[in-house]
Amino acid sequence: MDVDQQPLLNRVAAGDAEAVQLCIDRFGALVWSLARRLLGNAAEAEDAVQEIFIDIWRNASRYDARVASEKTFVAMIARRRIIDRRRRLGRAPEMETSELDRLSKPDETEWLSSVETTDEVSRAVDAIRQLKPDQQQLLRLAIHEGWTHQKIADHLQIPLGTVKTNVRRGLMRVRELLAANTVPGERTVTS
Amino acid sequence: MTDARTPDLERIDALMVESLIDGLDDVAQRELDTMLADAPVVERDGMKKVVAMIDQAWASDESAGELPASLRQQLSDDATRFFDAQPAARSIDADPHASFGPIVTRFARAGWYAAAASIVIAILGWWQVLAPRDGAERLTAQTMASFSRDHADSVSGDWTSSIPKYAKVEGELVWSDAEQTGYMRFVGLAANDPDREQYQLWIVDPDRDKHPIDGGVFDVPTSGEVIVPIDAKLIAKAPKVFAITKEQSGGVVVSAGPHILVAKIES
Repeated sequence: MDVDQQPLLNRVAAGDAEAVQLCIDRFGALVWSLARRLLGNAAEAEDAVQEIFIDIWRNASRYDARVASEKTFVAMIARRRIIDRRRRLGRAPEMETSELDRLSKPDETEWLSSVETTDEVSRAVDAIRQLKPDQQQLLRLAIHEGWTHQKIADHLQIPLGTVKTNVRRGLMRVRELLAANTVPGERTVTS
Repeated sequence: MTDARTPDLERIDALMVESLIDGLDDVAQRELDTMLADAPVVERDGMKKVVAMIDQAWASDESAGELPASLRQQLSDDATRFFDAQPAARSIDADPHASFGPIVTRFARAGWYAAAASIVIAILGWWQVLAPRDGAERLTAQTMASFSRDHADSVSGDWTSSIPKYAKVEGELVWSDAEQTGYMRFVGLAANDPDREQYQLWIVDPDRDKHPIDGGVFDVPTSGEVIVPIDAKLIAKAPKVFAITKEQSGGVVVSAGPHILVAKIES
């Protein structure tokens, strides 16, 4: 296979300087977006992005195109690093009360209307759209807004255990729907 | 014949989701790592992949915008330093799947990680390599000896303390600039309660920054001998001193000290 046709991360693992720059260009906005959203602080987000890309360079050789897309691989590394960092900082992103109120309304689901709709992303969007509105709301707060289970429980005045159970069930449902819509030859994400 | 150790998939899912939303403390992380070691391959990263796909969907509708130019430049500089510090003997594989072979083989070719760590990694799976947290229970002094033997650039230092309470603690560390990792050995360091406090490593690299690099938090489950892998959060180009503080559970961004143990790199 021509070098240029190889996955970027395989080229990065081989020390290809051009691929490293392309990797930053291709995944930088995704990582930046996740860090800003989940950390809520630009300075912290910048430090996190630096840590994440070091992790990407370190783990590039483990990328397996049969398991996930490169973006998914990068997003997995990014979330792990960001959540670890947030635990160290001991806080979830802060928001104004009005924003909290807006996010607490289960009918605010327009956030899915204009997202990129290709490949894995398209399948994920389709799966989320099949969830019940209250499940969508919980996943939006937990994943998109980066709220902790406790923060969701406090704000929605729902028992913590119920929040955890419903978030988990929502994700399991998405996993089932994704597995039912798996591309032939791709490894499934559930058993 | 079926494996008698049937993994509790519901518990795995619960811990996985917790780790992806809130993060796990070390006790829960160890429980998850142990359960994943017996779980079917597809279970190990399934939930992570689901959340990563959702993250992408929502990230593409963000107002965060493009990467700031200054950060873009910093990432490029970081990458240059990182790859400059790597072994030069690498080549691009003609076969795109060549790098998907057995993980130990990939480690051996890339030479990025210690051979002993690779064995642990191969057992746990590649997804757990991102931040192995239970290494302290699995590693031995032989790991450090092998690491030093296998990495010509490795440096070392002995732990010392000016605080009487820690004066009897013994041990040393080994570190490789090229690998950006290493190991610490402690004998006699008091066991900590991870729910209340944790030890945290700081790496002093005067060539990089006046501020020490966060080397991560770790636990000492027993006051006997423990070996802890070093997980530097940023690139340490030529560290001169490694220091240990005791912090609140989860660690801190800036430590108020004191440095309970210090190891100066022997030149």
